[in-house]
Amino acid sequence: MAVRASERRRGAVSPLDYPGAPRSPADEALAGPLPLRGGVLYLWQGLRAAMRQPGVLALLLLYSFLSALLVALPYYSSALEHLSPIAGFAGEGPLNLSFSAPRWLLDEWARLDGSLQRTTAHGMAPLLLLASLSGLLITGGWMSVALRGREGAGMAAFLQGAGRYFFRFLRTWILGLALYAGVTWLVWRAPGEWVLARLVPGGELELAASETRALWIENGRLILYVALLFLVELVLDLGRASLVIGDRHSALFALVRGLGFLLYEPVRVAGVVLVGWILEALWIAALVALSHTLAAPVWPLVLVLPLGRIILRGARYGGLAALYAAARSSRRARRHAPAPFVDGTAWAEGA
Amino acid sequence: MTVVLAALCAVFPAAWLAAGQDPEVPPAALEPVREPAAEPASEAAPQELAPVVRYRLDVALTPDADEVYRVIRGSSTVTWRNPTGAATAELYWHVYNNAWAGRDSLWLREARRLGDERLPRAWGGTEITRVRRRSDTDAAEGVDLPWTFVPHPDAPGDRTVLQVLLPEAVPPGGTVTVEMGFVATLPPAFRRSGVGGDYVHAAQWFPKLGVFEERDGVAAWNCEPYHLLTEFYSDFGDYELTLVLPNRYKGRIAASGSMVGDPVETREGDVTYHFAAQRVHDFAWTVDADFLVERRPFLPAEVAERENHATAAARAQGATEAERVAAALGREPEEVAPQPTEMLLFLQPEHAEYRERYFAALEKALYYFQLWYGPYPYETISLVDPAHAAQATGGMEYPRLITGGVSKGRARRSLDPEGVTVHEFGHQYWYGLVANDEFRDAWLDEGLNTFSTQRVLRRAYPPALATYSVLGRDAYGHPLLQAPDFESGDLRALLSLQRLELPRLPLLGEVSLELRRRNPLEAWLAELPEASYLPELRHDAVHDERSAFAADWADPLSRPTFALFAPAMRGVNAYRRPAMTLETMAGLMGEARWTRVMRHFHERWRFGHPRPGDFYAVVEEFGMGAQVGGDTGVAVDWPGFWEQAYFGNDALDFGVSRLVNLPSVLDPQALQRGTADDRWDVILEVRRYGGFRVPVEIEIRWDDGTSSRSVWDGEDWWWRYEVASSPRRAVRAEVDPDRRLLLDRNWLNNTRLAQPQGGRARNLAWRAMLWAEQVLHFYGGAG
Repeated sequence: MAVRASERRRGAVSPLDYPGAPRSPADEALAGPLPLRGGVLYLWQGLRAAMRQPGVLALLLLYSFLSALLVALPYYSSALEHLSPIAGFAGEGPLNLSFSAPRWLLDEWARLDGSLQRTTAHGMAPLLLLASLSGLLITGGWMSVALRGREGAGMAAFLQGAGRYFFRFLRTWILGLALYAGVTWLVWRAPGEWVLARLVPGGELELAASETRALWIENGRLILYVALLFLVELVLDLGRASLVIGDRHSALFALVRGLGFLLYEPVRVAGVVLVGWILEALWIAALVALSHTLAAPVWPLVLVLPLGRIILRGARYGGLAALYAAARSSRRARRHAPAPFVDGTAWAEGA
Repeated sequence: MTVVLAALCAVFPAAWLAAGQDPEVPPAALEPVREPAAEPASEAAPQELAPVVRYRLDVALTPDADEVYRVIRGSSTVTWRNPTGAATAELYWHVYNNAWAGRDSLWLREARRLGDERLPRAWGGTEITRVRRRSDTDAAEGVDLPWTFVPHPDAPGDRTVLQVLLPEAVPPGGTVTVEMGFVATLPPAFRRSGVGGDYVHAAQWFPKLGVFEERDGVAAWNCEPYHLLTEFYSDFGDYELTLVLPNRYKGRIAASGSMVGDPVETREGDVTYHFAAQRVHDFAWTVDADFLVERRPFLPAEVAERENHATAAARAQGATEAERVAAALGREPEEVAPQPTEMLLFLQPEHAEYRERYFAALEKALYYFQLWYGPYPYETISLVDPAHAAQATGGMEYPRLITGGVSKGRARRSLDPEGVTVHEFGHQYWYGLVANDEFRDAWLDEGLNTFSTQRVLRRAYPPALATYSVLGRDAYGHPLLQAPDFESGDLRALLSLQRLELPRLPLLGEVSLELRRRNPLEAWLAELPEASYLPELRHDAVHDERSAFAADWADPLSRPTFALFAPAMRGVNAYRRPAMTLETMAGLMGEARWTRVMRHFHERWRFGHPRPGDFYAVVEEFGMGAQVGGDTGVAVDWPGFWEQAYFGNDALDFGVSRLVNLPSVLDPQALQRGTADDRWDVILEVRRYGGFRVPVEIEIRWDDGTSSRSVWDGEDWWWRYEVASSPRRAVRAEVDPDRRLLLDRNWLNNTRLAQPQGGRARNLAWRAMLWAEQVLHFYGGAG
């Protein structure tokens, strides 16, 4: 497999014989270890890989759009029936409802169409499950695309990766549910309550010595819980990267490897994930601020906001996979590197 | 007559016992007493009456066995004057604090019956140590009096009503002085009173006399036990309080009276306070060693200046509010000008950020209530911000002392704590000065006060905006949709990744695993409220009363408060529904007449105990002659209105059912050729969907920019308006275009556009879609 050194440095081309990633020290020796660089560069690599897939982005955007449309359609129908024939009150301004509405209007609409909120909420439930499961397909797709490099990637690679890893990821997903349940139990049930009882009398926040203290405790608990949920998510993503890179099958070991990798490379992982989240937050904040400043209609946001988020999610998945691959390659190279002679030189026989 | 007698017996324990009714029989109060609409109460003008009671309370705040300062020990000496034309040889007292003495109290039983199992964290209660009649001539002499707690048929263990038998009857106009020793243990803060940390809120803490009064010619004691759904009712009187407190509370006490002299420190390290209050019907006090105390004078001229320039309503009105009120009453503006007083704020240190907002709200309330209803007659008004561990004592009113309550981080336009401050101050007028029977007619103070509060808020503040909260901070916005949240036991909870619940399995038993707990921080991350919430949901303070329509109106307004169908009905029937009814009456009779109604009702019943019929009498007196639609309109039938609004339970709902412009050309070919005149047959149909009948205005706007109005008496079920061959087309029709009828259940059908506008539905739907997109994207990365 011929790889130009300049391309490898840029990270544009993966030296891995994808999907058969290096499986032996001999492969590693032939291709040479991947350079292990800062986490942000892997995010950048993932970002470029995602941006090169307009077809995939269009597909994911369409999926995002259509699934949200299922929720919005009954809402629209009801609004059309109940709100379109009415006129605003004198002094209330035009009833545009883009940015502002009088409360009585939404209250009375909710009373007239009492089942609307329930219908949309219940419609959301299966979509949430579907979103979570389709997230597995998307993760597999992005990781595959990121590891293929410029030549091998495309819609076909995305779909192939999505399909190839779905059931392996599904097993991690099931384990993930158990982990989420564990975290929930830890924070909100007996252990969390035990800690709370140590902090406020009877474990009741209303009895805290001051509202400030109660607020700190309440917020601390919330932040801890959400941080733990994200941690679980991160371990799951890294575990999935290990399944892809190593072409493995065991979900349990994947989680162990994911956790191990996080402990082994916390800074680089943070470089990918945290910077990715920061970029996503900036994207959202900039668009929202622009929309508010220009008093723009909402529909452009519906199209543009998810696009950025889809790209950045792809960048994170791709970046994590690339980081995992590079770290694994580097580790193996170190493990199998010939020991230097006393004169400082080293050599090894080719396999 | 039987119904009236039975209802009386339910309300007056003495009459009940005297009538020899079987106590197991439920009170007949479920059948509302219909008071003749125009019959005022039979009492004399209340302003001329001398105080009925005089209390002298000598007490000390002492610790309990756990060294928590919550025990009030001491005595009260009460002189009572019989204000009726009938003699009585018994006295009935409220011992409200015994509602917290054990599970058997009527209050806690009623709460359990309605599904509320909460109990105080520790029991409180009041022990009576002695009851003696004091001699009129020698204060040291006296005779012990027999006393007993009066059980309630629904709660035999209830001890919130005490009966004291006198050796001889007190004749009409006669007096009796009784000394009572008591030990009152306050509960940890629970429903209006109690302690939390170093904060002590002594409300309903001493045995208080019931009201001996005449109803329909029968004099009896009105001394209801402490019910879940009711508040209080007492006679006006003079109070003196001597209170011994630990020294750490020095300078940090709020009370219903004025301090007499300086506090005196004792050798034991305590401090003794003396307070006095005249013409009040309760006395509460609050201490907290942490209070930040600030006094400010209320200067009406300065507030008037600010209000006249700062509020949009004032600018739009042209004349000042004082000029408007004076003109409506036929008085000079100086005659209705608010009077100065002193404001005292007792603030929690961690709520220092609310200092100015509390004061501003209190000032605005003092200004408008005085302007609209009459002078505030006391030297001080104390506003207490409850401690965090005693939030249950917040949002309450006592003469000259009110409690607010607010959480940290509230946005300025949430109007929190402004709303609660204005409302509780308003009770100084409706409850404090005009003291109705809150057991039976809670609406008469809560409803009038809600009406007044919302008007102050609407006038003095920009509209409140809906907020959401994350990590203790408010932000503006309102979600259009809600994430699914399934009840426990619903298998669909797994779909939303909330819970895994499986039916009973052979080895595992029932599986119920909480996967993810919905929480505001995660919701914030998932929903991105800044993008997906409606940025501005405006609350018009008066229109907000319409939220009462969300409840099922099971009772008419005339149903006694303690006999309401469900707790939710108290929120409806005591607060928002009467407020809407008053707004509707104001709309029907016009602001000038309405100003007279409210002012005269207040002035007539200041320091008195009005009943619903008294209020109606003033409405009829000053509302008579009011017409909807101006001088050529339709007169309002006030007896008919009151019958429907107070005794009835019918819905008021007018709606436009049809508005069309049909081409009036008979020759279709001419129309096709374009040679026909542009003429239209306009048809408008308006329907009355509810049983409530009232005159209503109907407006049509035309495509030439003009509009025309008609008045319909609202008696028939529908009303049709047709114009043949009109040269103009109707663009919109509106029933009640000035929104006078706040009681109209459905405002969405009040207007009809000839050409519906789909744009607003799309605007809302795009935002709902944005919300769904973000949530699905977030959970697409979960698991």
